Parts: sequence; C-alpha cells; structure tokens
Amino acid sequence: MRRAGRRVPLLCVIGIVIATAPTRGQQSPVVPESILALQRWIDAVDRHQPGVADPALDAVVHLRYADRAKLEPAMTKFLNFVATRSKGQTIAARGDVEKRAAELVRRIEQSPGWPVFLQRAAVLHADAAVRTERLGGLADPTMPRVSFPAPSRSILGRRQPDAPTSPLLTNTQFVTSQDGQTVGQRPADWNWPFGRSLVDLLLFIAPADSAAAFAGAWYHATAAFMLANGLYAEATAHTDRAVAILPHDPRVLFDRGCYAELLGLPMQQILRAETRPDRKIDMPPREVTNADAESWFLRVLEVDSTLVEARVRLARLLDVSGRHAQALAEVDRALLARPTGVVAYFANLFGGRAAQALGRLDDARRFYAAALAAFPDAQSALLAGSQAALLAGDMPSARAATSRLSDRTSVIDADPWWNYHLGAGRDVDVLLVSLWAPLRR
Amino acid sequence: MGGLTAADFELRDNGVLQRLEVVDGADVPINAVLALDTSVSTTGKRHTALIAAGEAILDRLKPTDRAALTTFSHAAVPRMPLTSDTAAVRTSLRSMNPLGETAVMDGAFVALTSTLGQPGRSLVLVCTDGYDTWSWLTPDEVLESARRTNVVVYAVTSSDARRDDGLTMLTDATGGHVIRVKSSTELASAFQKILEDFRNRYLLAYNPSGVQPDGFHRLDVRVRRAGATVRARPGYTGLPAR
Repeated sequence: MRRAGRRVPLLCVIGIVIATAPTRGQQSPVVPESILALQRWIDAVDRHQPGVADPALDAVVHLRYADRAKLEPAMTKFLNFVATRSKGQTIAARGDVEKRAAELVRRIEQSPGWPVFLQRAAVLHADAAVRTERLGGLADPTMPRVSFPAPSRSILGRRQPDAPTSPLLTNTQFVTSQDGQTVGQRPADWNWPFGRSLVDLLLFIAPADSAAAFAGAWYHATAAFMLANGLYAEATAHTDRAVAILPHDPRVLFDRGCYAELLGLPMQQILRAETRPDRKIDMPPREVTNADAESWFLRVLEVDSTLVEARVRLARLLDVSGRHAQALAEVDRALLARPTGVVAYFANLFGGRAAQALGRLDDARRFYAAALAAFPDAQSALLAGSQAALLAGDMPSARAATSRLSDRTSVIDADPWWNYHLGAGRDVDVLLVSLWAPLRR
Repeated sequence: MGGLTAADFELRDNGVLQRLEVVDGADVPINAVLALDTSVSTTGKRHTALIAAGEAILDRLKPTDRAALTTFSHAAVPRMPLTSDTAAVRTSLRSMNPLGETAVMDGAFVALTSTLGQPGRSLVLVCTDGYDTWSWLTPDEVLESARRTNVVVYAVTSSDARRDDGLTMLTDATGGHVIRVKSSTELASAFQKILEDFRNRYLLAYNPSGVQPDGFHRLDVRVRRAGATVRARPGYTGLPAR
C-alpha cells in the first residue's frame, strides 16, 4: 500500500452526524448466500498481507451496502459463535447453514487461532478504510437514502444517534468542511465501526495483556490516520471507544486529548458560525473542548508522567485559559526532560507565549530564539519573535523576523505548529508499519 | 470636509488637551500595503477580482507613493517590500496562487511590520473572505502590536460580521474600517474608495505634553464645526524607553 501519508487536510470530515439510516429491527435468517459471503470475507482475512493493496483488500474495499447486507446475518452468527466457543461453551447451530458457520469457526480455532484471526481482520478493515480514503471514497448506489434531520447532533459523540444493529450496515452521513466553510456531506466508512467491533471481540476472548497491546496499537495507529487526514467525524466515536476499553493506555488517552484539543483550534471553532440549517453544527465552544482536552492530558500524565508532549499540550491549554504562570511551570518541567524535535519546539513556542503574557518579554524572546534554533524557517516562531520584539520597542528586530518569511517558509513542514493539530498523525506512517509488522507473513 | 485648520480641531491625549499642527495630507507620500488572502477559498472569480482590485489601487498611486504586497494563506509572505516600482508589485500580484488555509491575523501582522521605521503615512489594506482558520497570532496580539505603530488598517471582506471580529477590532483600533462586499465584482471599487478615504484624511501632529510617554494613550479628537463626524484612531501605546 502506498504511504498512508500525513498532510494538511484540505478537506476535513468534521464530527457531525447529520443523519443515519433506520436501524434493522430484527435479525435476518442466515441463508446459503450469506454463508458464501462470509466464506469470501474469511478468505480475504486469510490472504491479506497487512499494508499491501492486494486483491483481498480490494475485495473488502469494494463491498457495497447490498453486499454487506447479505453478509451481515452470517457474520453476526459467526462472531457470536466465536464468542461462545472462546468461553468453552458449545455452539448451538441449527440447520445446515448455521452448521457451516460453526464449521468455519472450528477451522479458524485450529489455525491460525481466533486472536490472530481477529487481529488480521481488524488490520484488514483498517487498511480498507485507508485505501478507501486514498481512492477519495467510492460511490455506492445500493446505499439507502437518508433523511437529514436538523439540527445536527453533538460533535463529541456522547449524543450521537444509536448505532445500527450491525456496524456492517453503517449508513451515516457526515458534514465536510474546507478552509473554515462547510462544503458538503459524505458517508461514514463502515470499515471503522466494524473494525472496532472486531477489536472489542478480541478483548473479550483473548488474554488481557496481549489483546490490550494489540488493541492499543490498532487504535493509536488508526486514530493517527484519522487525525492526519482530517477524518474528525470518524475520530469522534473512535477515540471515545478507545478510552472506554483501554482506560490505562496513555497512547489512546493522548489521542483523545489531541482530538478534543483540535476542536478548540480556530480551524474547527470557525464552523460554529455556520448558519445554513442543513449544515448547522452543534460544535461546543472552545472553553468546553479545551477543558475536555485538559482533563485527558492530565489523565495521560497520571498514567505515564514521561509522556512529555502531553505536558506541553497541557501547558498550551493552561496558557490559552489565562493560567500563564501554571503554563510556564509545565513548560519548564517538560524542558527538564530534554525533549527534542517538534516537542521541544512546541515547548519553547508555548513557553514564550506564556512568558510574554506575564510581561517577561526578554524570557519570551529567549524561548522563541530556542524554538527558531531548531526550526529556523518556522513561521510561528518568527511571528512570535517579531511580535515580542515589537512590544519591546525593538522595531528593527521585529521587521527583520518577518522579512525572513518567504516561499521557503511556506512549505508545510517548515513550521511544526502547522502540523500541531495532527497529534499522533505526524507519525502515522511509522505507527501503521508497527501495526502491520507482527502480522506480516 | 475640506479646508479645516488646526484651530478647527481639539485633541486630548489621556484627557490632556494638546497643541496641534495640521499637516496637509496631500503632501505626505502614502505607503499602501496590500495584505491579500490567497487561501484555497479564494479560488476562481474571487482570485481574478482580487488581482484586478490590487491593480486598481496601484493605478491610483502618485509617483511619490509606495506600495507593498503581503499574501497570506496558511503562510504569510511579504512578497514585495515597499517600493515605488508599481510594475514590480503588479507582477507580484499576478503571480499569486490560491492555496491552503487562511491566516488573516498572521497576514495582517506581517503587513504591519513591513511599515515599521518607514517614512510617510502607512495604510494596510487587508482583503479576505474573513474566515481565519489558521493564524498563530491572536487578534489581541495583533491589536496590541498595531497600537504601537502609526498604521491605519482597512479591511475588505465578503464574510458576515460574526466571523471577523478580529479584523473589526483591528480596523477600529487603528482608525480604519471594514468594508463588506457582497460580490467579488465590488472589490476594485472598495479598494479605490479606501485609498481615496485615506488620502483625504487630515494628519494631526503634536508632541505629547503633560502625559506619561509609555502605556496606552486614549485619544479624543473633536472638530469645532457643526455636522462633522470624526473617524480617528482611539489611541496608541507609547513605546518603552530603550
């Protein structure tokens, strides 16, 4: 598969559910056609090489809603059987078709074993979602039309509509935005909720430590992909589920904090001003999202006090809310750990702003100089340094700093601040490779 | 209103009446700094109209005036420093490409700094669709900076008022104002109107007396003529002694 990529998302899928299809009322009977679809899915899981755009992946990527509706009864039965067998109970299969599903369960139990199978399946669906995103989404004429109730639902996920009976039948529409304006809608990717359901099952059946290690890696890498590609609506339920099932994993706690934090950035907050009824957004104000983010970063530091970036982000939130002295203290603590690269840059940038707010212009300018020493073309530090100089009455320095801005400093990687909202998405390629590696054959 | 002299004005600096001179604005060269939004949301007709509006203002500058160009998307770039070579600014205008997000406050700040230490009277004209999605600098920080300069900031925006509070604060604080356009076809006339407004302003000069030099100075300007309405900057921040 191609590089999963991190980029400044031109098109963001913001976290608004504006409509969902009616849920299925009753479970459909398992018919031979459904079992055949299940067999094809199991084959795809068996054959897919993690991270590779192979035919097995294509088969999943191109599953239309109608195909998934056929697959759903057998899949539900199959996954129930897996849960039953994992607890040492006997599968109660009725009729030839269900017996065939039970046979598939027993075959997988022997090889490769359910934990490995479920891990491969979860990775297959993560890869399918990545692939679909890379293809720019796929039209699906079999998808039922949905109505658009107004006003739209909460972005934070706690008041989202009930999930469909099966995540295979996800039929949710999200609002999209570009450069601060809502520009349309697009369907949610069913691979994400279905992948989450597979990870849930893995945690149910497998030894806690090994399953949690995989689940943490899966959620961290996939959340990174979502943040790197502006899939904020998908990230809403994703990061919520991650912290619910892995409440002591600092990686997923950090991702949840980053997600809340990005909602408080201007690029998202501006969407609160949308007035068109069909795109009106129930985005919480910055104070609410920042407080949410702050609580998650504090939780990260309770679990793992060495995660320096969480402390630096906490410092920014403290500064934004006017607690400049506390912010500066957190920056000082973070710098004691001698962070490098972008984390050191952020620490110095935020430290400078906090010092400036406290009237310590000389300290602020030293912080900004340290940030620039690491990233000489970073616009944020050049602007910050220029402004501090101007406030200090040093007009030549103020002018000299901004005169360094050019096309070279416009390159997106020149300024770490421009990638701040990505959170772990900065490292998405590395994280995905780490997720794939243990499952490669 | 034309024909006013120093005797027609009354200026208080932090409540203290000051002795004024009125300088004929027509004799003082203008520094016109264009700060133009080149984010992706300006693609198409807006971008073409923006270039035409920029050229319209260049066409109306006098030989002694100077112009500069700053563009902003996610990045703010001072493309052309203050120069009397308007042809060079025109070339730079025509080479702009829409791309990326919108950092209005960062762009406005970079434009402000291009006037620091420059002779003449400076006008910064910010044109944007008004959705600041990306700036590092906050409106308060840019405002605080602007109060330490002599620049007058005007803005032309196609946005509704709720989305550009920062720009409104900035223009009000520097004695300029925001012109809202409904269509990009109105950009050129808005630009021209701003230049005309700026050129026709009275320049009041005084040496502050009876007030502390540093800190914020609230200005109160009145005209002793019936029916006159004053638009002036409401104050400035005195620079600390160096």
